[in-house]
Amino acid sequence: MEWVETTGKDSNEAKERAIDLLGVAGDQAEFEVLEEAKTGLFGRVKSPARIRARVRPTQPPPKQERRDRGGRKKSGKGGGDRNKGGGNNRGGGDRNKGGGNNRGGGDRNKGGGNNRGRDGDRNKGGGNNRGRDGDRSKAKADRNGGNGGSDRGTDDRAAGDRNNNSDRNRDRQPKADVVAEADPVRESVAPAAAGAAVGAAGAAAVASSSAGEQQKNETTTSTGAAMSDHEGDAMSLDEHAEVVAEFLDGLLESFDFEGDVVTKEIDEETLEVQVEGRDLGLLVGPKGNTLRAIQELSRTVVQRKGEGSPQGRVRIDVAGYRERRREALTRFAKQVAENVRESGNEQALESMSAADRKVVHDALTDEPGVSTISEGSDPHRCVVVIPGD
Amino acid sequence: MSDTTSANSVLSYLVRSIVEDPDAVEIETDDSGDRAVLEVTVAPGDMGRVIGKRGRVANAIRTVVRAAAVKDDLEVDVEFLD
Repeated sequence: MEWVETTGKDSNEAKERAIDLLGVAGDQAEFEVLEEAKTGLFGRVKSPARIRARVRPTQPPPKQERRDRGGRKKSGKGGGDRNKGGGNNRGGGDRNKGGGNNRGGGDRNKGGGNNRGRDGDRNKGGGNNRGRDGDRSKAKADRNGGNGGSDRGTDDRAAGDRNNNSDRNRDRQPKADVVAEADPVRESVAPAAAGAAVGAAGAAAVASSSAGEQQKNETTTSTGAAMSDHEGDAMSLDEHAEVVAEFLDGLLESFDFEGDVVTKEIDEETLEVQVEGRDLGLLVGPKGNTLRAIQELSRTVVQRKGEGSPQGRVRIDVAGYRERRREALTRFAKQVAENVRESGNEQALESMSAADRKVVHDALTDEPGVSTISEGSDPHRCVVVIPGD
Repeated sequence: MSDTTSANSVLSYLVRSIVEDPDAVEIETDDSGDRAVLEVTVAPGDMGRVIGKRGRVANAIRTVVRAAAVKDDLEVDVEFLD
């Protein structure tokens, strides 16, 4: 097991730092005090306390998943991975968590695990660790300052999230041109695409949007071959997106707006349904509120209307809002990172949605000299940028 | 009389998308107060769906309907009656 060495004004402070570095709860780490702090005259610190710590081997902690937030059904794949990540970290197998990479990549679940630990410690430390409290309030002050300058970077928060690298985005056909056609070629493609839909890659991705359409048409008449992946109670990602797209189409109509609804692939388990058109600002709303509400409602609709549990994630974007939001947030995060590097003080950002936090974590993963963690609990959970890798 | 066309059509669409029994959905406009109040009635079994966990769905509906009302140049409230 690897040890980390930290120093602090007293051994408690050193321990806290060590815990932060290890990224586990206090009761999962073990400490060895190498040197107690020596205090000089009038309590001045003569030499700092030095301790070393490591994640306590074996004995996984009692399983304490963070409560799943409403409606986030996980696909077998995506969800599974995430959970696994969380489990490992907490189990102490993955000590390296302090490293920027790990942190940025993993997401909320991991944050959950860690953070609970951190919070716990902070509470514990509250009484006996004045020095640290001091730091915190300073951080808060910084934060206010930061906000003043940062304007919309933090302000309008929407659920911008993952990278959508345009090279991956394969433009799925707008459905209008597919519905009516009884193109035999397409028809024959449909079952195959449906079969591969969950893993959606390559050729399947190209055809699958139309396949989803076709599939639906077919299912109304016969529950035949196209249903092959529909066994049990799973709704494929494409069907999932289809339900969302239909919902948005209807919504546009009820608004009496003109617009196109296009589905794009973000990654294997994420599709983005994009609404493009003019004057769609109303659908985004102040700080993206309306967009978020629409996303929420689409989730409800999927649950009500869809058969079976939906696979993967389908997110909605209106008029490129998310992308712009992600860029703004990334710029802001880098600026904060710069400040933190220069001042050496950690800085807490204002509380954000999980998706926004992820954008920040991702943005700073490769940023030298800083790392990020999330603390607090929703809806006040926020990212803290801390100096050091 | 205030014209709540957009708000009404959006509200009606949203609620009908969510409930099990769309035919039972009724929306009335009460504009006796300062701002129009859209009153939604749904089948008894659907009330929970429309309101959602801790009113999340209901609030989302309100948000979107208010956006629609902006088109009508109005502010509206949405109430769910049981």
